Amino acid sequence: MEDICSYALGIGQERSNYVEVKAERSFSNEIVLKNGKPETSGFDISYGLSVRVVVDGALGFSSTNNLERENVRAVVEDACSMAKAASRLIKRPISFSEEERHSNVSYRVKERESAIDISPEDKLGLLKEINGSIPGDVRLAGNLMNLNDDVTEKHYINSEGSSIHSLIPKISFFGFFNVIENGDSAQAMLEKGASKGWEAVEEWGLGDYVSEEISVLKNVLGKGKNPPKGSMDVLCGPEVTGIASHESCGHPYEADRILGREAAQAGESFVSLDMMGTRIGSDIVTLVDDPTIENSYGYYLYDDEGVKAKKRHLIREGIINELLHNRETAGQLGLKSNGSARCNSYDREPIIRMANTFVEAGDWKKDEIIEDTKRGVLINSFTEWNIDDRRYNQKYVSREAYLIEEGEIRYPLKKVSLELTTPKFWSSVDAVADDVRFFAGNCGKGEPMQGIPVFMGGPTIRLHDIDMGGSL
Amino acid sequence: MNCGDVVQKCLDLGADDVVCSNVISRRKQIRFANNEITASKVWDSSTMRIFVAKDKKVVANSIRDINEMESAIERMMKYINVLEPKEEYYGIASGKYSYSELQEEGTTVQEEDVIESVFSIADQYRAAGVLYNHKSETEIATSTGLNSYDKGSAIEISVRMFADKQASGHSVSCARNLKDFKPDAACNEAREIATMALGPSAGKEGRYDILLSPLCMGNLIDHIAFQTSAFYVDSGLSFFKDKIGENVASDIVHLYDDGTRKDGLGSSRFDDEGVPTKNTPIIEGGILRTYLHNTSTAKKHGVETTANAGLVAPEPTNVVLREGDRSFEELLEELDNGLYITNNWYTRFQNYSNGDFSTIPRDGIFLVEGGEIRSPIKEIRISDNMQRLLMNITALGNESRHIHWWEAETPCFTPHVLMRDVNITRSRG
Repeated sequence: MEDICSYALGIGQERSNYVEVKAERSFSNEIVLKNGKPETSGFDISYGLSVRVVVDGALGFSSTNNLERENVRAVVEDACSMAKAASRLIKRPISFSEEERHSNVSYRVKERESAIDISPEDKLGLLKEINGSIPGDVRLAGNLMNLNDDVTEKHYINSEGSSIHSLIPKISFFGFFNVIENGDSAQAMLEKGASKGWEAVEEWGLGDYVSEEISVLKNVLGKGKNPPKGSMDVLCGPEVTGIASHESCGHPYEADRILGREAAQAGESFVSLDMMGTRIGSDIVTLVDDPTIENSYGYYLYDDEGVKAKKRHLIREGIINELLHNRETAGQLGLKSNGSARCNSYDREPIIRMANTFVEAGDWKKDEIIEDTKRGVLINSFTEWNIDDRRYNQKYVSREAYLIEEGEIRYPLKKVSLELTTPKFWSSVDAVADDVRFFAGNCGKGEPMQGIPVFMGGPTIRLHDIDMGGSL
Repeated sequence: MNCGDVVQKCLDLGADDVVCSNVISRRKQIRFANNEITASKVWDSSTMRIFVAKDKKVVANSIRDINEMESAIERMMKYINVLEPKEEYYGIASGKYSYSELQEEGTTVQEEDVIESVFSIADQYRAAGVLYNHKSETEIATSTGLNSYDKGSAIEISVRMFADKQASGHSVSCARNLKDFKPDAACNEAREIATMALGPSAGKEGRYDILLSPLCMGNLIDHIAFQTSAFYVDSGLSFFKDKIGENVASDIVHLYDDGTRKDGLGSSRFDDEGVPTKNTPIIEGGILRTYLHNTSTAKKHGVETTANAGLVAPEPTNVVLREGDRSFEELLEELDNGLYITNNWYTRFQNYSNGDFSTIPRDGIFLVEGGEIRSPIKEIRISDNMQRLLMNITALGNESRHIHWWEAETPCFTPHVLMRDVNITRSRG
């Protein structure tokens, strides 16, 4: 791995102003259970190399999984010649931010038990056990469960002398369930994920998790009433706080969106550079993105440009404080990168991504917020969601929600739809609890699309006086 | 090892059914934004995909480490031994097939010249987008004696023009050869929509008749096509479940999966198990005729394969919504009062089994009054039910467009579509 990277770097250095090389070997397993029965399972093996260069201010990228030297030479030459050809059509030569060099760094996530060593039989057994935990009185229109694990070994070097080796295992569970009750139906898409070994699935308690979530759907369908209309307080459980943090804070604070680089795909942002330091939320909102949380799904210590990862304070006490940067956007703005460049495979360019995005804990207890609420809804979890491509108008439809009256939870509600702007959401927060939880997801961005593992989370928060006028 | 060698090795190690394909591709991409190139990329890759069944136990793998083929096969055969049988596995394709002729390739172009023309058309507007130019070769061999080879090329551009921060237009041009590739026309269309979108006012919630552009319909068709795959139907991820022979759309809707179209980005000579691709009616006159199948799912459902393997999940190739008889002007006239929506994104289903969903219009959205496009609006959402919307299609344009981009992963051909009584919502603060 090291040898072929060094060889490629040498070829690139002869032809470019900057070059970085990444070799990556990964092994991943997938076990699938559909409607309680084994489906096609399998594994993927991948070993390849990519090179990213700057030639005359233009960026070139190429990759291959044929690591014969002659081919690697041709691939590096491809990247350089494409960048050279593009250089006549750039207005502002790329100038990466100056960053500290990290030589001979090596890190890995320690596993108690590697998931790779667990037999497919045992993994399938786990999924069957989860299926067996579904309450017998529940009628399902369908269910699909996947258990995935992978180990990725990366070696990164650049022409500035950085050299970083990492080995990160990940494991994840996905379950789709559609429950039928009272002539109606509702779905849940449940995810767990961690940068960990097999011990993660034991900690997750997947059987209890799935059976509880399915019972919630049955209860909402059986006993849920239509949501109230008019103005009221809205309590967002950690899962809803998490998706809102990701969609309406993490994404619009990506500097590449703000500068227009993703305009034709993921879009731009309602946030502009002159909004730095201005208020977006109430003063009890502090929202961060932190890749360094051990064993988190979005974990890394060095990003895919060789920059050391750190916690980023996107909103500090309600004020727009920091954007997510890579070396290109930081260089353009005369800043330092905050280590946000990630790619999901050796054959994808690193772009600005979130890692683990969440609202920091506040002073309230969840029960205190409920007791303090005269009329409102508690949205514990969501099913449908989306947001516009400037990250300004968002919608979350509940999977589990309840009516609150005079400080007490009264009864479940069906399909509560929260549809509001980003400034309204964050400026309406008047209580933040201390019950921070994280939820795993795969964030989509980039062209070609790069799904990347993240955590989204936070505590229960209350939005004061929200117009909940009816929508589907 | 070539595909035939892999098949033989798997059979030697005890496999019952084997399908092996090898895709070698070279793909170039130029990304651009703010009227400059932001990255130029080239991917060379070789991916071996192996599907093996033994005693109804089934494994599908992809190998992108060319030095590990032998060991990967041995690992796979050990892996399969400890799995449990898949009850609903009914084998792979067998028989004698004849394949269509190889298509001529022709997408050699100086990519930077195409981009330079984009910037020239953009002029004072901001242009962002992506150009792809790719070539691939696919070899396939199966344990039932199927052997074939395919090669293809494609060139496509997706371009978004901004007249202002909140006034944009988007268009695409997708082709398998240069003669069908019209990047300048796409740029001009995107620019024209952006100009019309200048100065949008806030949209209002309510029920509207709407005219959807091919780009917008392409996104919806992508989601509809996914839900016609027998795998997702059986998983409860489709509102088409148990609807074969039933009315699922208005009677002017004719929807096909056509893997044989010479101009389709999703076309190929054979599917992932070596069956020659077909032109399959999915919906005819509003009636659901079939799901998309591979050999195994077809046998489970008691029908013939539609040549849409995916060996795990059947997949659409090119989805074709048959054009109607209305010109664009006639559609506007028929719409009378309503909305014209030129693009959308972020389509999400609240419930796959009943079709409740929402999606967000983006780029030019226009109020239509008295059959004329009047003024741009912004910040609305379609929040409705897909089954209902399919039933509410009342007219189709007479010109079909080839759509494939970031928000429409399945290549499709679709005209403008007129839908009645669509629920529009927006933020309430």
